[in-house]
Amino acid sequence: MQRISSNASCIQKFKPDFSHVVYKTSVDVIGKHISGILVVKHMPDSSTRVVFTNEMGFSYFDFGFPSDSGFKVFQIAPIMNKEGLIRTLRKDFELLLFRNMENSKYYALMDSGLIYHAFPQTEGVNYYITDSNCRQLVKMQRASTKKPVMEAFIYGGSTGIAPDSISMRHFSISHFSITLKQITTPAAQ
Amino acid sequence: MLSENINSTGKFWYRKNDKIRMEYVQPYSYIMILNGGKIFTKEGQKENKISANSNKVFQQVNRILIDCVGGSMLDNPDFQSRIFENSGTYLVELIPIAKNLKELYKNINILIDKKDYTATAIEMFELSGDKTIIRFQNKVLNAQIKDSVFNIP
Repeated sequence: MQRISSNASCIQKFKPDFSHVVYKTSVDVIGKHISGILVVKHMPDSSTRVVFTNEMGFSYFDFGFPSDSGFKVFQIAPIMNKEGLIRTLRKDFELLLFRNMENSKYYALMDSGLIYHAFPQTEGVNYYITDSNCRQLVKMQRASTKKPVMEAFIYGGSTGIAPDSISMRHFSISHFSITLKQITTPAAQ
Repeated sequence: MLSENINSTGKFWYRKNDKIRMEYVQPYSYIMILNGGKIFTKEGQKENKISANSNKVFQQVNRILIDCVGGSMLDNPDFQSRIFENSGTYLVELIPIAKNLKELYKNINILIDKKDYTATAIEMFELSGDKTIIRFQNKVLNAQIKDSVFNIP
């Protein structure tokens, strides 16, 4: 990979609109499968909430991402209340929500015709990978200092539009994948 | 958190004492079968089997649904109850006593039709303020149900 000069602002046009969207969600991890509904919503205080419940309304987790930075666990099912899992999910959603993108730390790399737009995190780096003209978002990736940890593909999303579907695959945890497919919700009350 | 409703529709079968089949048709296909302490779910092509005994929370949530529909909720030691009524309905309010259920639910209400003493709705209120309501419509009581409806593959 080769360092190149690029502009962090070109990534902003790919930032999806998660104002209020509902996804049918499947999680596969170490041979287990859980499914449910994942709701992503912007709140009146400008924070973003991410809630995952099963088909019976049983909440697996309810996470909050304040507008500036930070993270809060509003609720989590005992079965998921493990520090490592919460940390992984937090980082996954921060990547999807285009958070922690400090321009002062940004740099870009080129490899095989693709630009890796890098935003260093407290641990590791978040990459938004585009074509050489920054016209298409090919994929997103979380990486440690040495190797990719997770990659995500979004389909159908861009500025002002929530993705139709999202798939995430983890490399460091075997057989851990998350897929989301948007479902239609009734109008607000 | 949500000011909007997310609606699912489908079918529901119950056989005394511990068999339930819940099948969603909209917004997507999903099947859940409770049978003799085992839980089976199928979402699309993906199947999952869990023994409710392997996890206390699953066991308790499993029991809540069976007791709410089967009419034995007042005997469930994990809840304290109050009962209210109007001209057509009883409302059984259940407040969790068990610590792990208190972390999941603020309370659960069962609405019971005075005409036939069957549940018309189960309302599960979470600590966050969100709630899940299961409404039973077009009920057919004491019908013949094939054993295969509750079979776990």
